[in-house]
Amino acid sequence: MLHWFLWLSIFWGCGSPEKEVIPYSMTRIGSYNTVLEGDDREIKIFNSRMDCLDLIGNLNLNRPANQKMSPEYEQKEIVNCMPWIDRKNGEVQLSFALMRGDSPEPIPLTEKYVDVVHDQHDVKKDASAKVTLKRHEKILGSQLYMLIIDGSGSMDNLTGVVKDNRELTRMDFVKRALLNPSVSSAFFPEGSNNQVVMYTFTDGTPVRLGGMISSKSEYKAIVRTLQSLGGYTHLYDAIDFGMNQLEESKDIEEYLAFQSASPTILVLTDGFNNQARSDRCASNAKRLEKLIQKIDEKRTNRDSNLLVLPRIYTVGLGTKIREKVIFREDYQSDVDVDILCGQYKRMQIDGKLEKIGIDNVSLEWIAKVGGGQSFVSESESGLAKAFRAVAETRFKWFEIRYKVSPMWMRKSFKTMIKIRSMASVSSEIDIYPHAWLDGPNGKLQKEGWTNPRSPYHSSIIFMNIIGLILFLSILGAAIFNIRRVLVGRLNPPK
Amino acid sequence: MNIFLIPYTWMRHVQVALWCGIFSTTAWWVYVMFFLYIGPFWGESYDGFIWLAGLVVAVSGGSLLLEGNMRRTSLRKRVLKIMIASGVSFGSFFVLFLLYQVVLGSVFFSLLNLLKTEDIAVDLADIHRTAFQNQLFLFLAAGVSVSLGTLSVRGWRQSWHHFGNHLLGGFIAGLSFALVWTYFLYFYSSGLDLYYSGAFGSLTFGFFFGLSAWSVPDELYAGWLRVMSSSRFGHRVPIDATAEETKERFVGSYANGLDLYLPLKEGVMELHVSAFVESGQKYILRGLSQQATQIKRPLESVNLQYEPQSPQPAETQLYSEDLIYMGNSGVIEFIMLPREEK
Repeated sequence: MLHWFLWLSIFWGCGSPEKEVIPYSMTRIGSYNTVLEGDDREIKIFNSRMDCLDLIGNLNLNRPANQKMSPEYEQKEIVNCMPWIDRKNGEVQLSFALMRGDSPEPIPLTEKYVDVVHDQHDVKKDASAKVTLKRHEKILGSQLYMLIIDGSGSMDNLTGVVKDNRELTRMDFVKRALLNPSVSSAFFPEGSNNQVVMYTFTDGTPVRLGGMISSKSEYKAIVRTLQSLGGYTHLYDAIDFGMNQLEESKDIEEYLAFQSASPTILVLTDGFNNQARSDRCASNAKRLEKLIQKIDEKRTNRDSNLLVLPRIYTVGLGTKIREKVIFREDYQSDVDVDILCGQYKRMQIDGKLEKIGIDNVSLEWIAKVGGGQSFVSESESGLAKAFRAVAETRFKWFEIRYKVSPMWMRKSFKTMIKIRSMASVSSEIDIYPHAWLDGPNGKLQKEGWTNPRSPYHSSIIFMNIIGLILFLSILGAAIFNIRRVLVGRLNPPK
Repeated sequence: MNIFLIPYTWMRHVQVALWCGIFSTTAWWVYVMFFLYIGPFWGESYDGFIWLAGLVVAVSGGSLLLEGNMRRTSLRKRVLKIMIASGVSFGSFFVLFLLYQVVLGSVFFSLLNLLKTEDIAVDLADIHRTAFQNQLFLFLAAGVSVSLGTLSVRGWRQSWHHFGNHLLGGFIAGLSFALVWTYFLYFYSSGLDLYYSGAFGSLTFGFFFGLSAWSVPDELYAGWLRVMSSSRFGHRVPIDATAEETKERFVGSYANGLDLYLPLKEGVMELHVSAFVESGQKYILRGLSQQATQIKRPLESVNLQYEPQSPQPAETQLYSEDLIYMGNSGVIEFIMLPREEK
């Protein structure tokens, strides 16, 4: 009976599958679970040293020969990647990457687009809480930006803004935004080997402006030549064309292949996809469906050439026709007319409809499937901001730290990380603190966050306690003997 | 650690506590270092058990080691006693731990609820929950287990006082452990400092067990008479009777057969005083001479010269470091020293 009881208890206590001990702490951490997967991508939360060794090792392996990490830097990155918890300060540090298959996808993620949920409490909504995002492994390779600008007749419409005694057209807005120094610097950052290729489209085949643009001066010269061509807006065809060009245009293909560059397609329009006079909003549903299926197929097909796997950003010039759009789960394959057009589905696509607003739903849809972002603005500065965001530096993995009340860590808890920009994805991870003890509390850094303290700290505490006790234990004997010396009990009287 | 390093002052009552504190703090340190460097091989439901079991084994074994060192028992006996005490402590804690999970937890929470107007949630499901009411029982169980382990070697039936001391000592150790642990958990700094709570909680556990259960026994000391006057300075003799036998030591100037000789020229009579021990380590000095005999201690002096009309000689109790003045210049000191002092 006793034998059986002992075995039962041993089995009960043993075995905590897939749980790792967070380094320098006495807290265990589980494996991450994907809560919301976005078009074949998921957030991977790194939970162990092995995970981090794999990540940093592979990243280092993929770096160009002259940009390899030094052993010290590699070690530092591994430490940064590992999870850390300081319950005394209520701090949790986790590292994550947006994974497509086995490799981390570079994204220009900022703090604004990440949410952290600690046991169903949105940390960002808590006034006393703190969140910070540190980005790691900047994309060092070259980028190809394919700008596909709407050249339809509506781009000649006046905006009401007067500059240099001349009322600006919509196309002027786009040109001024593209010529903004911060935008040109974003496309061509110092020391980069980025290139830009520019098209303008109406109906039929988009027209290429110049060749491969590799410098700011060349870029500025080409942007100045942008003009409206008149005609319809074959937006979907232009995007399809752009994707094909990545494989069919010789100079683009060569650049992508030789420079191992990543392609980004940026499409700008000021209205709706419009291919015929009789087009209504609903007419676009099937066309959009065909396009997004193609984009999705290209982006999710494992056999696709990774070099020509574009990320598609959309920019709308104007105001949104519909503010709130809720996509269905099968948004990658099916376009519902009601979701696309809402109450405007029977309205003809003409100046009257475009006065109400631009087709922001299509743009969002394309960007969502294309792994990019969608922006809508009617101001020049808004456009410039959108262009800058498209060209923003991307990173491969991220370190997120958050701070909540330590009392929230008195039990096991779940931490969920949500990304709301490139894709709506979220993953969660279980953290299991030791109910009785902790390792050394973290060392406070200048930025107000803590770093792990060496386990030797517990030896220091131990030595101090032991030293004090030993001192006290001999103190009695010492006082006794000193007192006896002072009162003359240890020497014979004279 | 041995008896020669512990003078017969109030500090002797604290020595065992200090050393048990060292053993329990060491157990905390070993556990933390093992967890941080090697990592646990046990499941998380056993986190608390392993830590407390380590403490229980360290404190009960340590307490027996101290006793063995002080009593100078043979190495084999020492090791055997330590193993028995540690084993019994570990076993009893293991049983209490399992019973707590199965049945005692609910009973314990029901008892706690009797003390409170609001119900305390029985939340044993989350083994990671850090809360006073969740952990209190196991702290107390650890204390009681140490008591049981040490009692199993020191004997259950010595006296009710001895038994009660151990049991209460274990209970106090567990309770003080829980209180210190909780202080760091909720009230120290911004709270939830489980690092210092572990360190100081462990220290408290060992300290209070050592303080309450067993301290250096008086039987390890004996009263000694030591010559202070210059002619025979430093000569000493123990009044080393045990509880079963009585022994009387005679001091005087008679040259043959007395326990402690002092010269006549110092005014010491042939048979001047005698000292003996009564049960309970009570030392008595008896004045046997009509010559001056006086005991001096801070703020007090006692005359002990023999009065012929008195039916019996004058006696008084001796305390450590009393000075006994005899005749013109004979001085001896009564001092409590380890029985084995040479």
